[in-house]
Amino acid sequence: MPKMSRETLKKMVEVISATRSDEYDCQLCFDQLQKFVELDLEGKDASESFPMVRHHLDSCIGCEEEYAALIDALSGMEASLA
Amino acid sequence: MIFSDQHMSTQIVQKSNQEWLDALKEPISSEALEELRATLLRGLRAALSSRVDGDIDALTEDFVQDALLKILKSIDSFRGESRFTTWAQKIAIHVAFSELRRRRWKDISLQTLIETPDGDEFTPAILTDSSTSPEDEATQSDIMNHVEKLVNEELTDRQKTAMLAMIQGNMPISEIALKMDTNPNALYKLLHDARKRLQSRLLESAGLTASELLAIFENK
Repeated sequence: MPKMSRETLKKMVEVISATRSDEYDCQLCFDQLQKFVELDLEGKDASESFPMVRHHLDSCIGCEEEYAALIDALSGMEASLA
Repeated sequence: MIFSDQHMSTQIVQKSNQEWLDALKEPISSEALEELRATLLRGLRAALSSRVDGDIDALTEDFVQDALLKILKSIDSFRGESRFTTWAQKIAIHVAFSELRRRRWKDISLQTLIETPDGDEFTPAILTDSSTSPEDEATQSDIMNHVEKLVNEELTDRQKTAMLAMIQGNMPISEIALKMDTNPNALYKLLHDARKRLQSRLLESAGLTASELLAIFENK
């Protein structure tokens, strides 16, 4: 395995530091995402109600991407109905 | 829920969750199906327009078609904890992005990601941030050296590959899983186990808490 760059090692330290003993995997996060997103769109603190979802989104590129896209999709849907 | 379109003096009536469920279970209402299809198309277009180049109409049509099949198949799993359309849109987004990720990453091998450093070559002597004091820089370098040693000594080859693909290569978990012939949840567990092991060893040897460790690298 080649030597890791400083950038990679820094990210690795961040990832290691943020690790919790209990975490949601992608499926668990996905199962609760609709509730999380609705709270978000209502201007409420979704992270407080669903901290495990927030934690997963902070560390999973794929799920974070889908969350951001879902926000745009729902905002787009509401805008076209208004 | 009723929205009033002031310009056209019409009212658009949104279905309740129960109305959706009643209309989409056998015998399925074709009108409801078409309404759902149009709703998902609107949402998907809004989501993809800033993320995908070129004509997205054909793309979104295909994705919505696949999503509708999944939604109808799993309709009994909808628990009513959100609006039905939110739940359905989530599935449509997942269908779309799963396919887009597959296309984006299909020709990129794990080996390529792992063997190509993402930034400058690791040289402890290089100070990349002038706002960090020399002492802090030295502490950071020590920790990073140690992390590299732990990664090489404590993780299995499979764990190392997955960690580097994710952290260095920014490859999503679903794609790493595909290339490693496993499923995303199993891969997540593999990575979680790796991270917990590294965290435990690192905190033990550095004598720090996780938040203290993070603070050393924050705003630096």
